[in-house]
Amino acid sequence: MTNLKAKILDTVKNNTITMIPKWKFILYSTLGIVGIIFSFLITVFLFSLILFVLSRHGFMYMPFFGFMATMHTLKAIPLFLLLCTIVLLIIIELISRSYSFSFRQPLAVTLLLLTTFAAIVSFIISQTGIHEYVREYAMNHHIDPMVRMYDRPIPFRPAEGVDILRGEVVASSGTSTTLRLFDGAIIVAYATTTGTSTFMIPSIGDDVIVFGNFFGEQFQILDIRKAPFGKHMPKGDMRMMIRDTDRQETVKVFYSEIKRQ
Amino acid sequence: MKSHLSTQKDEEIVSSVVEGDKDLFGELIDRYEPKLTRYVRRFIQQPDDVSDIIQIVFIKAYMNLRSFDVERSFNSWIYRIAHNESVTYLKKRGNEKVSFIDFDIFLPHPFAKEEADDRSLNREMKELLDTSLLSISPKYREVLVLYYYDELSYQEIAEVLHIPIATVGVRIRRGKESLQKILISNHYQP
Repeated sequence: MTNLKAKILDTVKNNTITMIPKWKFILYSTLGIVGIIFSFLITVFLFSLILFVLSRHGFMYMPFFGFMATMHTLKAIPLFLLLCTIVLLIIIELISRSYSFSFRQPLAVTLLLLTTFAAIVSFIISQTGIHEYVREYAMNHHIDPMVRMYDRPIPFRPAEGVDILRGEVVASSGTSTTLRLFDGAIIVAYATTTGTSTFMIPSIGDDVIVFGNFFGEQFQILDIRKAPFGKHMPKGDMRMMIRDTDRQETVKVFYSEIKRQ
Repeated sequence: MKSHLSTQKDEEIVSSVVEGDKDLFGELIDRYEPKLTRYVRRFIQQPDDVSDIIQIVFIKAYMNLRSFDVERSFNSWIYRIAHNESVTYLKKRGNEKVSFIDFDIFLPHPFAKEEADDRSLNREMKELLDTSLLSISPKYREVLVLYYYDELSYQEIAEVLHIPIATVGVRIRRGKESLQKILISNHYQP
């Protein structure tokens, strides 16, 4: 018998060292899995919040208006939320690396699968009414930090001449349209055109996206269309906005006093 | 008794130890002490440190025996503990650089099928392996040791190191290339 063997068997028989009970391993494993699930749920909530905020304030639809406008969408992504999401994804990856289903695959594959799955679930959640409910709850219970998460994002280094609004039409006539934005602000917009207007005249209740830019107090519309996936989007009605580029017709939006409701 | 013990699988002995037959743990020590000592010596030179690490490995193995799944390979499991303890030791001594991103495990590789005659090395390479192992990166050294000396399969090495099986093949290939470079440079030495 070697010295080592004798030493170890001695400590084993004297109960100097004892086997860790099985329930502790089950507990650690369960905690690991609960940690993964909990982190995933928070990741999905934050990611869906980013998608929801970009969608509700119109930034999600910038790509419809060109490549440069797409960059504006990226700049509008709330950095703090994005960083939290990335950190959580890394935490999930690190915890799951101790399980064989994870370490048997290359890291790039597991990260890609995890991110894709999180993105799909987040998109689905952003289309449900969960965030409207959460915002309302936060407002009713005066949870200001949470309410602020739903505010219109301020794009990082916004590009000149590029901005977007999304709102519900609350009043409409041949010459004016009044929008209620997601955060309750009221914007009165009206068109001044000569000749035949080729701009869509929205109906009351329409969920519209208005693309253009602010000139001081004024918001100059370059394009307007109904929001995809908007709650008031009639089925099959995909009427597109046509801008008369030859005549350079634009609709002037007067950004009057903002009323919060 | 001894002949009966020698035919028992490691996993069966583990089950008996867990059920209360503590003496049987000595049989596992007999089987693995020489192998693990050889393995750890490839990374750590001081004999006292080697025996300390081996002692820690067996103590940790005993304490965590109830976490071992008898459906899996005990061989891989105990080698995993030895690997972790060696890495911990090397990191504490500052010998091992901590790398946060290992591109070997980050990107997928084409699966390298383990061939039956892969273990055969020509005489020159075998001598080189014995003498120049310390000259190559620990990352390649450990797979070469586990494959050529401890004769673990790709699957078992993957379980020990917690890396994809394809990465095992890649590291063995790169380890052999490193040895080839040393062989070539040795031949050109005056």
